[in-house]
Amino acid sequence: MSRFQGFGAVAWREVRTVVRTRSYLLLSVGLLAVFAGTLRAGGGIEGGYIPTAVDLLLPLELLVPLVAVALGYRAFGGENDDRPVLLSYPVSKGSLVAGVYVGRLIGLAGIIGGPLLAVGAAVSRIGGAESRVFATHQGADSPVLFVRFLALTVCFGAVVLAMAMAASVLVRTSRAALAAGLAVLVVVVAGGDLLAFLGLTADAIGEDVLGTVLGASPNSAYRGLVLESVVGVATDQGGAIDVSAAVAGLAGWLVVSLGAVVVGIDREPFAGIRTGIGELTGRVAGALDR
Amino acid sequence: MSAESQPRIETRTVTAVSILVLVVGLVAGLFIVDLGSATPEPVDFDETVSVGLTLEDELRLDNSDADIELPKVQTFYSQYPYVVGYYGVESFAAEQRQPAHEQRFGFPNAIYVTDYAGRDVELTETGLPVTGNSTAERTATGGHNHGGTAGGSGNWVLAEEAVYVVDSEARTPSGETVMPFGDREAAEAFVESYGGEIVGWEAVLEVPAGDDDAEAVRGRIADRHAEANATVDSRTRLRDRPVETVVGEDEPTVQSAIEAAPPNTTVLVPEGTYREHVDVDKPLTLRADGDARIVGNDNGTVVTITANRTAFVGLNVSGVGGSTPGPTVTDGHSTGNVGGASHDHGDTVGDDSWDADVEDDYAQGDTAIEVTNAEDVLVDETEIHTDAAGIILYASPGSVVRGTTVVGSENYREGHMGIVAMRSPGVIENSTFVGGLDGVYTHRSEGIAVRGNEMIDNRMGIHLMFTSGALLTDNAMSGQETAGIYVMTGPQRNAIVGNEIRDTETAISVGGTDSYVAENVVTENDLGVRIEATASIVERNVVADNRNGIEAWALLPTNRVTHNDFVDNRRHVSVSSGRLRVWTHDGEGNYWEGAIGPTDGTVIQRPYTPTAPVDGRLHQVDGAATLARAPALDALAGFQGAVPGMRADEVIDVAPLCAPVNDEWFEATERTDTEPICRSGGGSAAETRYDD
Repeated sequence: MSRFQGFGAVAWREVRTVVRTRSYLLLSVGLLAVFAGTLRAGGGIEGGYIPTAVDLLLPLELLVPLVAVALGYRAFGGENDDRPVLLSYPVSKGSLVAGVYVGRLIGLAGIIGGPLLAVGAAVSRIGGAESRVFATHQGADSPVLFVRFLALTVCFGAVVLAMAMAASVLVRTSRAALAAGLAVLVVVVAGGDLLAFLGLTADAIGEDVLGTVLGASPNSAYRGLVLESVVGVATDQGGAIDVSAAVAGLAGWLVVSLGAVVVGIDREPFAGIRTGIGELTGRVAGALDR
Repeated sequence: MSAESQPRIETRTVTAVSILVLVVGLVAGLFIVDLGSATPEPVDFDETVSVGLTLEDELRLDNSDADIELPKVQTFYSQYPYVVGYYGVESFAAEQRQPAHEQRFGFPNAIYVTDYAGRDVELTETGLPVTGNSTAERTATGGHNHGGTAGGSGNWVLAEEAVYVVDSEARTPSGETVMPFGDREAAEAFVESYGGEIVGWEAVLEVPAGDDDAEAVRGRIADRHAEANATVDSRTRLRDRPVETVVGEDEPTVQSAIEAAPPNTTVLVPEGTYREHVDVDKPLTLRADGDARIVGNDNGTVVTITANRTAFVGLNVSGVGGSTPGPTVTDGHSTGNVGGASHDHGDTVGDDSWDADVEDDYAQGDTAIEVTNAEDVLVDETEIHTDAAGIILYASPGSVVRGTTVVGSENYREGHMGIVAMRSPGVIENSTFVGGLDGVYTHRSEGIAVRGNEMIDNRMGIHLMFTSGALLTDNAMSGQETAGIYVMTGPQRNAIVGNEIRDTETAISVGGTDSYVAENVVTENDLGVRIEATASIVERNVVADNRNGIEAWALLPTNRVTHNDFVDNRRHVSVSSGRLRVWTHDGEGNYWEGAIGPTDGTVIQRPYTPTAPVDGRLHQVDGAATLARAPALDALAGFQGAVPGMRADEVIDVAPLCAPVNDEWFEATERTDTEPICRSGGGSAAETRYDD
């Protein structure tokens, strides 16, 4: 069996699991209800794609990590530990991890993306001003911006999913898996921003580098990228975040998390951390030497 | 691995890699694509939301024979769904310099200006541009805000591609104007005929316009009070003319005394009832000595004044005929001449004849005192009982009415105005108007001052038509069936300051542009203030105990509404149409009873959206404050103002004040429901409802 076949089979298994689990469908419907309620309260949907993105930004900052953690926290841990089963597959660790990750990512994209696409369709029907007296135009608003927003949201979810999976390989019991998942949630939703806030107030982060440092906090990076590349198109005011730093920050979390999963998957939980970190530093050192 | 499976795997791998590359490419493409490249096409100017021209100028231009085409701008903003039209390039230049302009509209995606190149443009005697081979269609819409004069969707050029002639003889009704041309040669030809110099777009944006910031507006009000005071002082001296004739001693009747008296003297009218009609056709002062009454025969006008510098002091007038303009006037504005001409229109012939019908309708009928073509007249301490009009001032500028009482018809539909001021700017002060149609009705009386009057139970207290630059201050009104103060027909620079208006259907309805509504107290009305005006300032008013506090009616969000106190209105704010308005300026908004959040001692650090279902109920419904603090709703508040032009029908204050602005009013009325929620001494964030 080739590398790819193994990857494909694992990914397909994960996707089927997500599809077969009714509660995920319910989760998706629940998200749609939350979006609808939020947009009703905020009124963005009548305004167009950009106001809709603005209204949904903060709810998504909370809900995307929640869905990602729900999908990722027991990927390799928990009571019904799948790990021995998974490891019994005749595939490499890399393919295995990639398969599980991509499978669950497709599930996440469906759970979050589905309701967002529905919202987008609703905006295209009822969004924007209409008038019988005055000429109207779209201004800077465009469906492309909403697709951007959707893409950024899925990317954000992808990063948090990887972080949640990394947390899950470190623990054995479901209770611990839940705790680790919640820890990821807290860190993503509030931790990074609070650290940035503390750093700013303690003068540890200079004002000139704030836009760059924020890239290290996944949800700040997400928020900054949305403000910059979606909302900023209408306001012409840049400077929400250092875009390359934000992209690098998100990519960094993704790579490090997936790396930790690959390294830690066949090890004892806490030995895993130690060996994993040792192995990672060894590799980095090796790479630097070369 | 079997040999047969080899190709299948490769196909799969190729497919997978292709999909991956495609997805990555698409996502990357999403962020690379340039969205601003498509430039919208210009629209018919009549379809823009336009600013910069009063209805009076609009009607006058519509009425003129020449194909006058004013320079215009139409702008497509990134956040604003309507195309915004400006009369005069300079009015756009001034507007885009406003600090909140970009925040409200976003940036312009495309700006078009009128192209005069190749159109044989000439100027009229007054400097208005006329085009020869114009493709413009003449339209005669009388509607407000969208009426166009000579619109047409052709003849536009992108602003950046045009050249501009500044400092030429060209004018709009508002003053000097910049002339845009699509090519340089046409501009040079224009300069040869009418002077000026040619500049580019960047330079045009810097052209200074009238100084219209709040300080300048406040300063102008002081100046206008000083002018009004000077007028009143000058007219008041007419009281002191020497007494040469006494009715009853020198002459038997008032009329014969007037005929006998030498000009510039006083005719003294002793106590008594004089049953006659009086006609003053030379500059005299008629002054009562005691309770002197002139009583007409219930037919026609009682006192007619046609001489400059006439003074009418201390007399009672009654016995006025019952003829009124009737339903034409009571039921809205006429479009045809139903009453027949009662005045010689004189200078209104020609370009100015657009309002002849209005003049005929409103200045006809019987009145206690009629002043026609007489300048600088004084009516002082007069008491009038009438079922028709009280005083009609017609083409009599500089007139002063003061200390006078007009008691009109109890049923306004059967009555007429307390005062009609038609083309008669002057001063009306310290007078009382009870019943009848409108206390003071003005028509083309630019610069009129109406101060310190009391108006009770009329249709409207003060009704401005085609009147710019009016000063309406310190009037007390109550019981008006339509409105306390109603400013119609889109005029400019009106000031409504320090009035106290209660128990009306609408306390203040202000239209037009560049107007100033400040320090008024509006209470217990169905609607406190309707803001139909644009580019105006509404500040330091008390809006309390009304069913609706303020109704935001203007489509364009260009007003500055700050430092008002909203207390105990069933709804603080309602919105009839238009996009989101941000009622905050320079980091300070309004005082809203019910607004919650941490404060820094001056403002509350949570946006307040009076039009939102929860925020709008904060001051009335228990539990609303708890709901407002729900993360799901609180989170929404944070970014609401981010793209205001794309949101409809909302008003948001991003920095609500934590204490009322008009302390004295609250102390005087002993209100207890407005305890300030500012923490004394400021400092760090304090929770709301902090009680010292």
